Amino acid sequence: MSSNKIVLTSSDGESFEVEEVVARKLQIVGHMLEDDCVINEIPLQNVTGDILSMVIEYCKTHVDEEESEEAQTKLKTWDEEFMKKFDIKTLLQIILAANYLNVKGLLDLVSQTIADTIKDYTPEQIREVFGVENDYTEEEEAEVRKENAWAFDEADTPKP
Amino acid sequence: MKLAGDSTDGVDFISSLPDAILHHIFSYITTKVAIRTSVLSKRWKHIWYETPSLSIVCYRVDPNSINKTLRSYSAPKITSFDVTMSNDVTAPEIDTWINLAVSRNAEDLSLKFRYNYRFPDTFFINSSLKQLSLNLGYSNLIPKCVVSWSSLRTLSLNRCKMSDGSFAKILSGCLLLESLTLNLCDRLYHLDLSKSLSLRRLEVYGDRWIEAPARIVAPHIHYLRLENYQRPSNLVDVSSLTEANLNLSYVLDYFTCEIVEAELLQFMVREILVKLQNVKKLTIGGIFLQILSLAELRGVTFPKFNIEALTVETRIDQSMIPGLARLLQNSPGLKRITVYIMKCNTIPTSSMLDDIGTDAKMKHVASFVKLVMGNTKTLEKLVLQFGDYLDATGIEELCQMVPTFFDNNVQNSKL
Repeated sequence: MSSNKIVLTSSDGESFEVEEVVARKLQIVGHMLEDDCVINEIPLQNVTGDILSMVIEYCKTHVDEEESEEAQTKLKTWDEEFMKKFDIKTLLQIILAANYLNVKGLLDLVSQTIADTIKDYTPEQIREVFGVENDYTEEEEAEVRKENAWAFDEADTPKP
Repeated sequence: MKLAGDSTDGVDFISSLPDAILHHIFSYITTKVAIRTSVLSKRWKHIWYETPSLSIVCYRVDPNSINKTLRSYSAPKITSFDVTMSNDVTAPEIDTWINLAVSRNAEDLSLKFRYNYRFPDTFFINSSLKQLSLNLGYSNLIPKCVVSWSSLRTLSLNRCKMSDGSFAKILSGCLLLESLTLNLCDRLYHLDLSKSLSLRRLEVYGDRWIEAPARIVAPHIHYLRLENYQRPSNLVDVSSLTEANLNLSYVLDYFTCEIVEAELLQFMVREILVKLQNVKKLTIGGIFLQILSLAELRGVTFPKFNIEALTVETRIDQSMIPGLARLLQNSPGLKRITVYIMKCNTIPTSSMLDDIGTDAKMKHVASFVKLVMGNTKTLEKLVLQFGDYLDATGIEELCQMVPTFFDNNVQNSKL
């Protein structure tokens, strides 16, 4: 792989110079490079500089994914630590960016992190943690619960 | 993840995410948990309806209640479908699940139930399926029609009762099959995979009650994981094999273990090893190694191996050493050895290996390391992983011995 440099520019005008192999981890960039191989500056409209820098950090770490178990374990530990750095709002911005930039590994990682939170909380706790505003009336909410009664079965709803 | 109370700034950011991303998040939780989000707010009521992955466990759940819920489920295409049914499941309920999977062109299907169910022909003729996993709790899997799973790449059959004929029929319908797992499949004696040209990975497991097939013909596989109970399967043809993981789970009985049996075992283990000539990565378990030791002590000759990476999953005691020594001596190209030191089933040495002690002490680990160092010139890395095996005294004991290893390549990690 060539060590060609590519400049990625965020929606708020911040520029990041990265190796081509790193930039290609963003599949959106990979596709652009395939269509026209002489680009070396790529504007990314839907992502701000602070979020893009985190995506790049992820891509740099995952640039050569070795098969060996040790390398995998190391990466996994890094992933866990990486996720711990962010609050929920940032995580949700990263997931949007990962989706737009098409970074499958990062999309999966953040999805898993958010899924783990959802899994461990009651609906009331999820509302609180994610700031979801309940616009059901009491009757409507009771109706939704009744429709899918088995899913709200007390026996194995998560403990607070 | 930080959970600062004001981290969301009062903005409901998650609800503004596109459905596709929320569905992706849902693919990491059970359908039950996904359905619970419908109560968060009106925006959330419908999100799970179209999520392309379903994962449902039906234990102690009224099937009518689930059916009522599923009437809302409207995803046109299911990518992943995983259902575990309770033991009192009825045929019409299984029909419902299978019809749902088939009608929504499920790609990755996993069904677990215990019922002598007659699968409909529509189940066996399906071009959407890419991955299929069945666990039938030791009931029959008998295709009554021609099987055509024309896109199937990965097949995992667990606790299925099927004859060689039934399985041959299934195989003839999966021409693109790349990976096959047969876990405790009863009535299967002769596994002929010579016509599965794309098959690269094979995993076969047997136990005390259900032995793995006695004969395996698999000329196209590159990877084999084989776990037998008492006797290793006869590997008739595994000529493309480059990676193998072999073990036996049997613990021989103190009183009934006859020498005749031991001789038969060492013969069979040798037969297997002869077939592993081209294997570059080999993983073997404790009993396998013990039998190898026994064979070595009795003067059985072994071929040369091309192993580059050897992994041993065993406790370390003296009964392992002769077998290991032989493997090392006959593997001139060995670059890497990994030892997972664990408590595992081993043959009681009092009956099998009278002249070898049984103490599993650190001195054996040390003598093992010395053995490795003395027997290999090409080794680049030796990894010892102790798991729960190593206690404080063990570490101390081992540390005192480290200077005697005379090599810097030893990595000692406690996981």
